[in-house]
Amino acid sequence: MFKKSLFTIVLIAFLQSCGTKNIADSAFKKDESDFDEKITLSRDYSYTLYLDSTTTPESTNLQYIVSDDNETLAYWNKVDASIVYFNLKDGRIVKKQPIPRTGPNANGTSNFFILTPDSIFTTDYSNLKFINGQSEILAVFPTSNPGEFKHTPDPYIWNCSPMFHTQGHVYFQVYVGGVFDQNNMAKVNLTTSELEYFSEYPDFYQKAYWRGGFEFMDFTFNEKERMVIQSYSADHYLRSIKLDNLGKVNKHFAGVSTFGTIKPPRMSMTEPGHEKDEKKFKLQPSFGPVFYDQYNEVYYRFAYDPITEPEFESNDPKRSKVKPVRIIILDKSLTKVGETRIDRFKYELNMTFVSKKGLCLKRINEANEDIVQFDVFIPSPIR
Amino acid sequence: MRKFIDLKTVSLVTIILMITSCETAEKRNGELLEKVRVSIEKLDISLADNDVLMIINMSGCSACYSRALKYAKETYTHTNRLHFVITGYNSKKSLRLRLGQDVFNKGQIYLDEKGYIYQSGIKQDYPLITYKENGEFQSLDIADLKNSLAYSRLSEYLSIK
Repeated sequence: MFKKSLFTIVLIAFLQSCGTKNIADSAFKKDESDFDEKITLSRDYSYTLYLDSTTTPESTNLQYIVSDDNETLAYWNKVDASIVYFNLKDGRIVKKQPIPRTGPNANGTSNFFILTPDSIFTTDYSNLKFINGQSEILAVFPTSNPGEFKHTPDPYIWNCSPMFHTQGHVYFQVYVGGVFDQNNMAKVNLTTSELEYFSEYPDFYQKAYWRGGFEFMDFTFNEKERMVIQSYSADHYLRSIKLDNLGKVNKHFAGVSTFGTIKPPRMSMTEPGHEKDEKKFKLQPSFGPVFYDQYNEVYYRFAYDPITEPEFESNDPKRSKVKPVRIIILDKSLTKVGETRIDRFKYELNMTFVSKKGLCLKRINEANEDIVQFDVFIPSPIR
Repeated sequence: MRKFIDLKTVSLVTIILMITSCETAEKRNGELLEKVRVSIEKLDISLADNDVLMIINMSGCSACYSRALKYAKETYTHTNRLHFVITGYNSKKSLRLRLGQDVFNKGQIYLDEKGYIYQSGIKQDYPLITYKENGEFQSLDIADLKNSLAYSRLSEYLSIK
């Protein structure tokens, strides 16, 4: 009797596993992936920054600032915890603002958002610290409310997940590794210090365990539309949220027609096989940061082709780790209008920013670490 | 009434699984030590008996490698027996600034520029500590965040207070 029951159970499970779409997969509608190619990117310009002896060529937080025709790049320098301001015209350092780690203005931040030279937001774990141009703390606001969550998320702020300020509020992402069933963004009211959470992971994220590299979300802010645009690593769509209606999310196809369905590495955290999560991420396509170009009114989204299995098994430090990349271009209504491949091993894409000249990608340069160069890609119509 | 689950069978299966998992862990450690030996040869690093090697992967757990680098800075004047191989870094300049020129100049820091550690199949996210005894790398300690004793064991071995 027991053998018959066991056989039946196994047979049912086998039949169910054949040809059934897993509801936790990340898929897209084929007809949505057709697009009219109208815009391409071409490299046309470059910026060079000249570093001093204590500024490193890698940075996790950049901010492009235009004022009276001057272009400045604010740059987080980890090794000495300072904000370095570069004049983009000649690439020279114009100011270095150290952030004290001890003393009355102690601040453990590794990020910033500059509203004005004397009004800068930083986050120091559970606090938003508002500082001036001398790094003196002017005000402190809370950035987490443990009472709301099983796992309290922390601010998650870096170049591709920036903090921003608008109409008396500061917005940022919040994150707990491997937790997909709670809010992932927050806003602080600077008048009342009230903290409000919003935004959730897409449904399919909540039905499986999307780790190994799929767990990340990056976003950009369109100030004119007052809209946040999110890019989830496993999602073929961008998700937009208007600030005046935080409960409503719209989705916009921003993928690649040849990518196919993306499958989660595991269905739950307790499912064995965590050591294969990273391989499953690398052997599938994925997505990266999104940037809004307010000067050309387009969006750029990074999309990554899978690494091949032979490349992965080769243990080659580059080919087994770095995915081929293309940039998806969308117009101001978030309709896909272009797709451009870029050199796989040439750029450090985490240090991307947008200037009035275009999309700026940092060149990898191991030979000279006292300069940082950005190639500028300009969107242009296809004739 | 026949029980659905036979307790004796479950106990036997559990014991077998425990034995095989111990063997598997030991086998894994042995394989890892062999990979360490191969990669050290490629890096052309020569260690004396009773020396210790720490492999720090800077594309792994950031809290873990930060702790390892801090340990390097704190101990470099206390011992010549501790050597570091640093792999997975993006910038040599960042590393030099982070560790300090003195630590760099001491000659016990080796940079894995060609990625031999990864090529040898060592893909640990956490610092690996291995002890050289009787001409061979014996025993491995993985200094992840849960292994709070890894550094105290290391300090004791090196007689660092």
